Amino acid sequence: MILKNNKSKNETLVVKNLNVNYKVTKGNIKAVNNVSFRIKTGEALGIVGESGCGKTTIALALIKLLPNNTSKFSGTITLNGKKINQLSDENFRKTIKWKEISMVFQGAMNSLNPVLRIGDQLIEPLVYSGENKTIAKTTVSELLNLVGLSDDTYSKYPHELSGGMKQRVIIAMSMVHNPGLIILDEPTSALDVSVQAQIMNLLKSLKTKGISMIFITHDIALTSDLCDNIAVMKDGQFIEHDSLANVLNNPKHNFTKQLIQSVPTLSSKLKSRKLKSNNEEILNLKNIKVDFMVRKGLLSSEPFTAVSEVSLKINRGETLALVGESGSGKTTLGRVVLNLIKPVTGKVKFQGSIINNSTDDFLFRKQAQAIFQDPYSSINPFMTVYQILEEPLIIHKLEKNLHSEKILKVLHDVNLTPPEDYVKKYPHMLSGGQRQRIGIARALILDSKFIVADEPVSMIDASSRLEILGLLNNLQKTKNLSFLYITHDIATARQFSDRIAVMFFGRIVEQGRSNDVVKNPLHPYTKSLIEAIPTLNPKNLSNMRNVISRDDFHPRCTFYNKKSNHVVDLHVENISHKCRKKHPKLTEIKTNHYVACHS
Amino acid sequence: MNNNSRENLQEFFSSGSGKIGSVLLVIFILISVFVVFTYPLNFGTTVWSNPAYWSDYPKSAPPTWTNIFGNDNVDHQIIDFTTPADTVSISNREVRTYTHRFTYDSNISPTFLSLSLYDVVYHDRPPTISLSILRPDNEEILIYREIISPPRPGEDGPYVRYSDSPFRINLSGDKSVSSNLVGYIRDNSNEQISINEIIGSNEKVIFSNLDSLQFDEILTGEYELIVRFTVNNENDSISKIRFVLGGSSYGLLGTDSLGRNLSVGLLFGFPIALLIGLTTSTITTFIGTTMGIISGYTGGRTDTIIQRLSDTLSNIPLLPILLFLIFVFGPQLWLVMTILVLFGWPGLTIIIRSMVLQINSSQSIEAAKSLGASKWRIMYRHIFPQLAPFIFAQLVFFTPAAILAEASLSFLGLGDPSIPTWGQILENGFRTGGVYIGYWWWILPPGLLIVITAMIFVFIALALEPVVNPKLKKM
Amino acid sequence: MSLLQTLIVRGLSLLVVLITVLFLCVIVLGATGYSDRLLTATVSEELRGLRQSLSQNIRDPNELEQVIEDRREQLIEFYGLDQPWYYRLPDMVFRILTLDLGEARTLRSFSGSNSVSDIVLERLPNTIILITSATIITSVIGLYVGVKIATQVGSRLERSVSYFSAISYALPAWWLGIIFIILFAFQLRILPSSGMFSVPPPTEPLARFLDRLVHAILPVFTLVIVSVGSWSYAVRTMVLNISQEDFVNVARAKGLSENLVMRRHIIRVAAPPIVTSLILGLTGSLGGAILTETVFGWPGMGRLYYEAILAADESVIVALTFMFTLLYVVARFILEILYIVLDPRVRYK
Repeated sequence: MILKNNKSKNETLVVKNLNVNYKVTKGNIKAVNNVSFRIKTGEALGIVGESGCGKTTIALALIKLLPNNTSKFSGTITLNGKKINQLSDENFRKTIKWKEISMVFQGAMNSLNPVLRIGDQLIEPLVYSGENKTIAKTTVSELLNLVGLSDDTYSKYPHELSGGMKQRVIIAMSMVHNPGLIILDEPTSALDVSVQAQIMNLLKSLKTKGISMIFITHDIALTSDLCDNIAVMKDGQFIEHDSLANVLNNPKHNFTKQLIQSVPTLSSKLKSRKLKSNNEEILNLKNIKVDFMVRKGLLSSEPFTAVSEVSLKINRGETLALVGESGSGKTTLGRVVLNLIKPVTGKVKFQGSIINNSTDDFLFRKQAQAIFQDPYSSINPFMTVYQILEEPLIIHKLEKNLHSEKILKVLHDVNLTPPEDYVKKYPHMLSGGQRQRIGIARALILDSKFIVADEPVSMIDASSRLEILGLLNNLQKTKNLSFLYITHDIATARQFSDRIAVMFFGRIVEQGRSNDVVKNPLHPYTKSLIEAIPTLNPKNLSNMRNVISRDDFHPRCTFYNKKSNHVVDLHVENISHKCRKKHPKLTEIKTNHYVACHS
Repeated sequence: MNNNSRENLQEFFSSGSGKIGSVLLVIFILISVFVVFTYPLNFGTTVWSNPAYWSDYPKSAPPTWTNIFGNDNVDHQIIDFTTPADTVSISNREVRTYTHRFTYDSNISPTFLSLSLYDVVYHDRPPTISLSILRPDNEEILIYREIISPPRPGEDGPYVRYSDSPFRINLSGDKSVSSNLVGYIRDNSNEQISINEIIGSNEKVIFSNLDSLQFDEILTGEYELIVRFTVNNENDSISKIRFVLGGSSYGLLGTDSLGRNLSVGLLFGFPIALLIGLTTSTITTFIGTTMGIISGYTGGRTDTIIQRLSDTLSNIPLLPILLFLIFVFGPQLWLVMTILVLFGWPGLTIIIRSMVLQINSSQSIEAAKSLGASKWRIMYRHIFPQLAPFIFAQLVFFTPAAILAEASLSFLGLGDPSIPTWGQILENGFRTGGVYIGYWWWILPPGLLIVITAMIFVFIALALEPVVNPKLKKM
Repeated sequence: MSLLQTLIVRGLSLLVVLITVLFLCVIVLGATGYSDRLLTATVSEELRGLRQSLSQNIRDPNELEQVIEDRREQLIEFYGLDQPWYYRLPDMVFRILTLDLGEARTLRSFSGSNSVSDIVLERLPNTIILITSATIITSVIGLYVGVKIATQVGSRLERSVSYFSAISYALPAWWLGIIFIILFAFQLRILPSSGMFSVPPPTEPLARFLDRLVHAILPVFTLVIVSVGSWSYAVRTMVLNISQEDFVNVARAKGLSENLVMRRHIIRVAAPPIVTSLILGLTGSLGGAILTETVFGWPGMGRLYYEAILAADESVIVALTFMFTLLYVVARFILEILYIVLDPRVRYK
């Protein structure tokens, strides 16, 4: 598995037999176990692995930021022919840190000092290593432009920037000293898909300038946008390490195969979803509008419209996927469906009766359940599995002597077997996937027929995602369940749902059969969303993704570009001026395929 | 008990402060239980603030154990006579003689002398009592003679005297004693001194070498007390005669300027301090938590009202307003505690509310809501358990605050006079000028006890911190 | 919300606090009959003055009584004593606001005046001197020690400071003051036990200043000791919390020196929460000042409080309660401004 390239002069980084151990209360952890790799100038190495596999430790070891409980740190690190791990800390700090190796840390939200201006944080490494302040300022301004930010960013504070802008600032910051190597630790993990795609585009363009990169990620699909070589990491070791094409086309290790399989593709053939769905309507939303009051100034507050003019139907046994990015209103709509918030206008009909007007929704509660995104915060950490699952039974006053039987059965249904092993456990003793199964079991125990699943797999390690989705699929078939599947990921939506509705700024902009929407998107936002999906394709390396920043869409009319101040011709030749005044209505353009368009 | 809480307990006891705090707390609780079962409920009014109760104690005496450091101190002696050593009958009179020998080897005189008569019953004529002392120089001096008060007009025998409270004669300041002594000196040395010269310090005369009439040289050696009780009816009786030789040191912790045994008062302070601290903090925590959960969970107008109220109340500087209110309403302990609660809960409510808001947005609450759990069930079953460790730590942390606040108030002279506390004892010492005179035994122990009590809870809170705040656990 | 609006909101809510305390005082005084007594005393005081001045001019006792009786009725009406206390609420509030509380019963100002406002205002600067100097010293020491121990968690120094902080939290200021007096004034005889000046005070300005300084050492030191422990511990915790943030790691990766990371990326960021805990400690230091002044006979408002309680002088007590609240509100507002200056997130919200 060792790369065949012989030692050549243009190798930026050579790491040999890197070992890092951490001391914890119960002995030592081998966080990095005998890892070796090389990176040539202008090349990028992708390190892929799940949380806790040691991938971040490699980064910290390279930049000498290992935590205090490091008990062992051995191996040789050669940067541009110099053995840098033998340098003293002070020497390393002065000559290597940021000057030769810089790093983009995980979590753009917290990587910037909240009380210093962006500019001050950017010029800091330059100024404190003796650079003239004026020159430093010029350098920084150029960098800001390079990463696509305007000059006035310089004097702003972090809280005034969006997540994507912050990540751009951090990338600009990593380049102030023009280092030969940048380590990118999950640089896009907290970002929306379209922002992620833009950041990947940016990184791609930087790479062409001859910067070497280490790209650390949990998402193997992302590496195909940037990396020449890939290392798959598990339990502190590289279990597979080869060129991008080889790994993607010929994965050798099972774990790699599993990772690759877990990436939903847009092209794969769909397993036929046998619909028992008849035309019996279980849920019907009509003209839903939701406002939140936002405080403006001293005493006044003004409404912020989170959802408007949304109408949807779900039939018995059907799955509707609600796809959108953060702030699109998809979760709010989910909460409306669960009757957790009341819409300003509109009707929510469940099995024919309106539920959002009555205060007594007890019966509805029994029939409609929810599965939540975060397996860590969605179940009460102070209750045992038994107590968690008994809670709905107590609330809905089921006979006490039936409780235990029902709980064991539902645990069996979600494949937590043998169920007796689980009932006495506390959530912290379970893995993320197991917790999510508890969440699913809780939603099923009342024999509900309708379930709102809000991003049920987005916070679970890639390898167990497919299992959970498969479980949901099976349960749907055996129990004839209906789902409202809320997700940011249009690719999994395609696999798991019958129909897709794309939400953007609180409105549904496109709706249709899943395959139709993905294969043949009509709305430019949908197109951009699909374009942004990371896919496993070695060819991605050379292509820029054609995504449009969400900020460039006008909230009123999605075909209108605010920035360039003229109508963008993306979908239809002529767009009438109506776009500037009115929101377009959903119109059926093809059979069962609706799009919001004035045409 | 699940693993989690067992781990927490281990974590708690693994810290030094947790161990020290818990051990001391157990000791304090045991002392308090002892006091609660042995002290009268109205200890403050009937014992502590009752000067008569303390009249036979030396005033401002340092603890006995200070003698170890070479201080020459007179031991405090209480001599009770109950059975006569000798009874002589002459016609229908009977003289009962009580004696007691003791060695006096100190070079300073006793601080006072007193004689108390308990429960005299006579049938015909009033009995007579006399006290003499036989000194090492073999001189017997008559110190005191008294006839028990005669029957009142219309009173029928048997005549009962001094049964409710004993009849106490302060021998040091008694005029008849002085005059007896003056007479003795005149008879023996032909020197004439005036009563005024010796009254108030009769004890010095009794115990000094009478060769010089400066009374500054103590006559050491063996003394014998002789009490004669002369009755006219053999059925007449006296239950006890008490002679007190006032020492210059007393007990474990000495006495104050009223002669009150400080260790007795300080002991009483244990349950009171714990009562003040724990009751106040429990009620405060309860109200603060309830309000915080309600405010954070229900939101809307209730939230706004609770928020405004707690914002305002928590911003009022406590001590001035406490002083003001107690001054106006009078110093009562329950009032102090009420005010502490009144101004104490809002701080907790503000914190709890913000924590509840955080928990509220967590998906476990959303899940409970979509299961159809009622408002109260969510608050009690889903929100409260997540807050419980923090709330407990707050309860512990608030306890010393209440104790310290009461002590401060007492120190400023606004303590509840019916319930002696450590703060009040200290304040007495401070106001009497104990600081300037050097009555350290009056100033140090109550302060130390307050500090230790407060520290117990701070230590426990400190040990609870990593349990409650997992962020610090890692370090 | 703009900067100005934020300030206005904070200012208003503090004003509400002040008004609440005022009303609380006035209602309590009214409902318990204290205010009646206060005003009646003022009336009879005025009448006595009147009688004295008139008795020289009007010889006829009946006429004199008549004039005084008329005046009494006027005064009773003027002070609203003919009405129930709640009608007088606004008037009372206004009177307290302007410290127009008539005359103290027994207390006098240093210059001999018995007007409540004279007595209280004369003491105000002394209290402010005491509190501000103690707060400044505490903050500086606490910041230094807190930051220092935050960098060496688990060390012996860190552990001893955390024990010390527990002890200092449990130490009542007044008791510590007493111990200091016994120790430094009576045992070692190196510092004066009480007061603000020697008797008689030195006349030369420099000597006068030094004399005052020497007298201030023990009270200030007492206040510092009781608060510096928990304060350093709070600083430690805040610095530790901040130092676990991602941007601190970023700053280290940037190759900045440890010193610079500490200064720019930890302490600077911890500054706003540190100011917050200063704010929270304010009521404590006010209380501490009252007690410390009492012990050391420092002629400030706190000592006056004690004297007023002993003399049962209710108008002085009302005035002091109000003044302490006012002092708190003003100090708090200054700190709020400081907070806003330090934290851009509030500034631009």
